Order: sequence, then C-alpha cells, then structure tokens
Amino acid sequence: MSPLIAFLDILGRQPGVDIDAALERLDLDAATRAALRARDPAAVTRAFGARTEMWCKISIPEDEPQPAEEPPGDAPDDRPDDRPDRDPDR
Amino acid sequence: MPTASSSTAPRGQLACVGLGMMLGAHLTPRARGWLEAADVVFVAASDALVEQWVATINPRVVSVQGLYAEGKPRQQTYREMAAAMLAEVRAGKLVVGAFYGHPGVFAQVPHAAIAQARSEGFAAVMDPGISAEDCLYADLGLDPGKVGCAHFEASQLLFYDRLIDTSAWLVLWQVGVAGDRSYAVRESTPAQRQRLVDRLLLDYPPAHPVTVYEAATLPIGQPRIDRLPLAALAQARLSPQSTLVVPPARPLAPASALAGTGPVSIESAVPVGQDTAAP
Repeated sequence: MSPLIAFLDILGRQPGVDIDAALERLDLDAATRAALRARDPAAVTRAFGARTEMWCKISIPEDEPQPAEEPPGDAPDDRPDDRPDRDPDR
Repeated sequence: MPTASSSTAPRGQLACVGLGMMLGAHLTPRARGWLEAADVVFVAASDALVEQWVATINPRVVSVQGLYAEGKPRQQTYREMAAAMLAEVRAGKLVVGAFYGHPGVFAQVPHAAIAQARSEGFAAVMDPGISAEDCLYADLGLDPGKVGCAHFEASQLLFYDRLIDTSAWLVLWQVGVAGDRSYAVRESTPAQRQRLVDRLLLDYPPAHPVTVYEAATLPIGQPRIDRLPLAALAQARLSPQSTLVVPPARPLAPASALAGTGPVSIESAVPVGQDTAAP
C-alpha cells in the first residue's frame, strides 16, 4: 500500500490524529507533503498522479423512451401509397 | 440463463455495497468483508484516491470509470456496467459492486444488476453505506424530523409537475446536471440551471438563502458549504456532486381541517371516535 493511501486510511479511521506531527514520520515526496499540510484534496490527488476528474453516478430522472412496436406482419399498412407529386430533387 | 450446477461447481453471487463518502471513515465492517472476499470488485468511486484505497483492500479491482465518456449517454454506460458485473456472476464468481455513498441511493446500476441476477437465480444482496444525505444532516446540522425534508432529483422539477412544501426543507440532488437531457455531459449549462432557478422562484423569493453542499471525500478535506441567494444559483460553481439545500420559507401552519377535532389516532389517521369503519 502506498504511504499516502495508508495515511489517509488511518486519518479516516482516527480523526484525532495530529496530521502535521504524523507527516514528520512519513516517507512522502515534497509535493504530497505540501498538499497534505495545506489540507488540499485536489493537490493531494494531483501529487499522487491520480485522475482529478471522476464520473459520478447520476440517476437518470426520466424513463427512457421505449422503441415503437413493430406492427404484426398481417397488419394493414397505413402508410400512403402515393409517391410525392413533386420530385424533391427538382 | 445459468444451467443447473453440480454441488462442486462455483456459483456466482453478487453483492452491491456502499463505500460511504469519506476514504477510510465510512466503510462498514460488513462491506469490508464483502470486498475482502470478492473474486472481482467493480468500483464506482467519486474520488480517484478512494479507488486506489479500495484496491488495497482487494487488488482484483475493475474501475468503471473507463465505461464513461463525454458525449456517451449514461444509460448506455449503465447497461454496460450491469452487463460486466453479470458476466462475472454467470462465470461463477463472487462479484462485488462497490459504489460510493449508498449503493441504492441515486444509483441505478446496483438495483438493475441485483434484479437481473436474482431473475437468473443467483444470490444477490445490497448492503447499505453512509450516503451524502447522511453527511449532509451532520455537516449542516439539519434534522429532517423537525419540520420535514423533501428530496427531489433536481431535473424532475423541470420535467414534471412537482409540489413543493415550503414549510419543510427542500433538498435537490444532482443540481449540477439539472436540466440536461442528454445524460452525456458532466455539467449542465448556466441556461439550464437558470430554468431551475426560475422554477424555484415560483415558490421562493429571489433573496431566499440556499446552500450548495458537497460532502468531503478525503479525511483531510472539508465539506463544501456555500451559502448564496437563490437568484445567484445559476452563476454558482456547481459540480455533479453538488446538492442544493433550501431552508423552509414559512413556518408550519396548524391544520385547519382538523382544528378543534381533538386527538387523532395515528393508526386510523382519523379523529378518535369518528372512525366510520364497518363494525
């Protein structure tokens, strides 16, 4: 486990931890250390090299339109038989 | 459909669990147990570091982030997510879907995947997690039991006729994508958000104070709690994680229809002694 993830896991479970004191004992690069000191989640994520933009689960607020049912084979065809009087290309 | 299995054949199973909102802080022991036991974990996290953290619990992790794309309808993404999970279940694996927050709240894939798995004869369960709603009550000091609290998906206020009770709290979810009908973008436009503001202005004054809320996802972070007048909402910085909290605009009014009728039986919901049910 990376030291950063392990540290965040501990912080999540032990909210009373003195972050600045704990940082002194961790083997972290300067950028990550600075981001943690600044309590800047976006900077921590960037320093870790992880993607900063994540897709969230969005609940679709309306039903999807259902595909129109195909008429049965022997159903009368109600489409007009006549072609347009005018050729649209003209 | 799966074929009848012998007693030695592996039997697929699906568990959809919640990761909670904050890395390390909200995972229930039961959800951790599912994650540790899984043959494969499909993880849907809202924070990349949370995704990395889940991989430390079980390295057999598949991120669902790759199924999303700008311009790709979420309905398609969600179908692919459920299909990927079901394919592993059919292959006889213990599959865990790990979703940030609560897996059954504003999350269509877990519900759909569990229903599909059960319809095919597989065991499938959902284990709750700490949702953004839970964090909201704690961070804003809001007790929904006091005057009530209505929750709506924000776009539904635009797409459908919904009634708002302005004597209760109003919480609008997915306000950052309100009005978008493509379901293929990360955020809606200011014009689409203005439509939401216009809708709310039918019930609230322009200066009504509202709060944009986002739960913290890392234990070094703070929740976002930005207060602004309703009329300024369309220009506010909003993200897919943003939630709008609207306080009551009027006090609770006594129920005029029941005034002077004496105590009411909760069970029958009619005034005591006036129950007209047949003997």
